[in-house]
Amino acid sequence: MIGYRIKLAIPAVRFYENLSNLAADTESGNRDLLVSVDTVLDTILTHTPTSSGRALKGFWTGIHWLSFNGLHYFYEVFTHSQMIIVLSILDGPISDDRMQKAAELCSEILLARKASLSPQANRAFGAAAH
Amino acid sequence: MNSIPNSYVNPNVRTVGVSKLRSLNATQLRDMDKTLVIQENNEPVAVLLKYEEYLAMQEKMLSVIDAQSILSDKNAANSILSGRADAKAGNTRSIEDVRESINRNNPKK
Repeated sequence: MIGYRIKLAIPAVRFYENLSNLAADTESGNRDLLVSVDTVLDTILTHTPTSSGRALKGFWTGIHWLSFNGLHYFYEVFTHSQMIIVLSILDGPISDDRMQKAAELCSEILLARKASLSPQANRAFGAAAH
Repeated sequence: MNSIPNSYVNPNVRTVGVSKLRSLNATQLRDMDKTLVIQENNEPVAVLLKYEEYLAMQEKMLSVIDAQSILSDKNAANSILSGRADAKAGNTRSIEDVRESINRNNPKK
């Protein structure tokens, strides 16, 4: 199966180049991080771009986002031309109380009434369930 | 009206009374294939679900929280907007092209 072609916008190019340079010059975890980025670009996004990530809403409509190994990928999917443009790859900022917030959101979703369940929360629950 | 639209939330959710909790032993809990909403007097008071499901939900929530956190950061938002403008203007490079130029400039890799 031929997947989507991957293109990078300039912020994503800069990120990839910086990471590649760091991975080449050091023996730190950057090498593993680069492998992780390549996995996303070559395998995950090319074959399952819409189901792997989430479609953002409102001002960000049209952009998908995927979190993988601590990095966040923001991209646009062009199904007609079988192309993905990665707009930006970012790490952080991650808040310290993220675990607490996640637990609170889980509880909220489980006990939510129909009217108060956001589509995003509903999708998250559906994906987590059997 | 206090009833929860369980089927909307998840078809595997079942509403049970508090007394049901007393009848559950460890084996039954392990084999449980439904999420239980525990009610008392038709009022939901707790949720019982598989630990794996809880972890999966937390993982999804963390992902949502992280994205929210990033999108509310000015620099990060600007980076995405800049990428969007590039995409619109056709100012993009294929991943193969980017890798080739990196390899040319850094043959060690």
